[in-house]
Amino acid sequence: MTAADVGPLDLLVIQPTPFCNINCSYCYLPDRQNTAKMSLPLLEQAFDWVFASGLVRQPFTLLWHAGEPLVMPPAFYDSAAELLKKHDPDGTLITQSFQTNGTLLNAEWCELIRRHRIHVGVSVDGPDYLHDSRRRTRSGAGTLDRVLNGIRCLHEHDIPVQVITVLTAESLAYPDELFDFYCEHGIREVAFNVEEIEGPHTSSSLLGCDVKERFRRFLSRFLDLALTHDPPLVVREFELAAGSIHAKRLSPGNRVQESQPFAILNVACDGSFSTYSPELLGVSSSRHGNFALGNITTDTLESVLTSPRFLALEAEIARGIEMCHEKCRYFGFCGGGPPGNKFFENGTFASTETLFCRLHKQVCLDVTLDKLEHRKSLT
Amino acid sequence: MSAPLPAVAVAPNFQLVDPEGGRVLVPDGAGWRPLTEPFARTGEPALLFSLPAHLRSLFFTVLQDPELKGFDGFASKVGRFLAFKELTPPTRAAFELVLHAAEGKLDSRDLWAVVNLGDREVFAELPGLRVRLDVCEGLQLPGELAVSVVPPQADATEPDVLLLIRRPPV
Repeated sequence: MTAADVGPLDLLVIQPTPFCNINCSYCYLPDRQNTAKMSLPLLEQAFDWVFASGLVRQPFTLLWHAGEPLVMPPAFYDSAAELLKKHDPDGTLITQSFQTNGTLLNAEWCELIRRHRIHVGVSVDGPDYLHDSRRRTRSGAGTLDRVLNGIRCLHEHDIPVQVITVLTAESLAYPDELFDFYCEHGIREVAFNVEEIEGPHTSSSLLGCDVKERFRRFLSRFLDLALTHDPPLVVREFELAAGSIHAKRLSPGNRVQESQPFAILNVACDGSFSTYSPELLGVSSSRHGNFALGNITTDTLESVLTSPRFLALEAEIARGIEMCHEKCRYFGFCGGGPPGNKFFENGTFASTETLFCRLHKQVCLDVTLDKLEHRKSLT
Repeated sequence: MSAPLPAVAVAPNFQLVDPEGGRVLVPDGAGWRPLTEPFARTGEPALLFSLPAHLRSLFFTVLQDPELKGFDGFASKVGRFLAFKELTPPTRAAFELVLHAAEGKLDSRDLWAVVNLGDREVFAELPGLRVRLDVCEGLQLPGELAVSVVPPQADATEPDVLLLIRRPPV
């Protein structure tokens, strides 16, 4: 396998630090107390490595994540922007993005975000009885007030904000309250993640037997509110599912982002790197060893692509995709479940359905199809 | 411990800012005081709930029309919301909009729930206690429980605005 057989790079996840200043109960980051930081020389090496790898064949997103990115000083990102100019002088190739818990956002950050045209995703789980029960500081205090201050600050600086809300079993009773919450705080773009079983978070409140039906009812009701609002709220799950319903059906040969090798490249603050699901960074298994396949300071992409470790991983993931193709009626829309979820839930990549599949793929597709058909019947 | 009082609880799937303990009043001489001591509860509980802000906004839109043409649509949305919350109104329930003035009496026959749609708190009176309903909050009543809504003070400039949901007549 050569660089031409993998990628192209679509998402570069860089972990400037594994540290997070808060301690959410469902967090999948195994090392979030570690205050290590990526140095600027190492960051420069990472950019050079990426651009020398042959993976960059189209515009891609650079996501600062896998720890709270705003724990770093703003000057780090000013320097990063300077380094990026060497590879992307006119700024058309790379879109930078922060995925942040929002608690540290202030005017200085907003000015930096505007200066470098960085997209911002803020994690917020809704009203206090939902958000503060899960997204807490290490001393157990809720974080909602600080997040809302951050969102207000983004609005004051005319920075568009997309929020990600993690849905737990409890959230499924509150679609109207979540809708009101987004409207009240000027949030126009929403993405729902489900509470997944990943890394050190080894269980989920969504494992109950009635959850699939509750999730379907939740999403259906939320979409009814969001799509009829003026202007409609943008709901990522609806957009993605509608996109895949209207797109050409997938086959095992068309890998989706998370299962296509090196379409995602995850670089940790020490220079180690992995591919496939970002949640695999910093995790190891008895069969595959550490999912970090190499280090940008010592290993080339070519050396990784011919390594037995990568080849075994790729073979197992390919087997899992084939199994999804054989067994799942949603395959043509989905292309196979995310490898990370399969590994964390089923213990192997050579497996099929996960909690994520049942809720985030199957229910979202079913509900979206219902809404599209209903809309069509009205016209 | 004094005589048992009707049970009051927050309905499942709802979150109220002030849970049931902080909003129950008991007689105190000529007036009423917050119930702070433990008390015995009896019967199926009356359930506190609240309507979401988007339904209240819709209600204000309905009020713009002097003929209240949008009221049936609003009532239907309230019904669907409550059904989602597993607090489903009875089949063929009647939804009534009532302006409750200081001198007015409220017909509480077949009352399944009362919702405060005004802009100040109101009090639902059950045998032996009063329950405060903040703006957009409601109280669902078990079948056997008699209830009335305390009229606003005589010097109030506006009547209470109530949504009554009634069981269909037997």
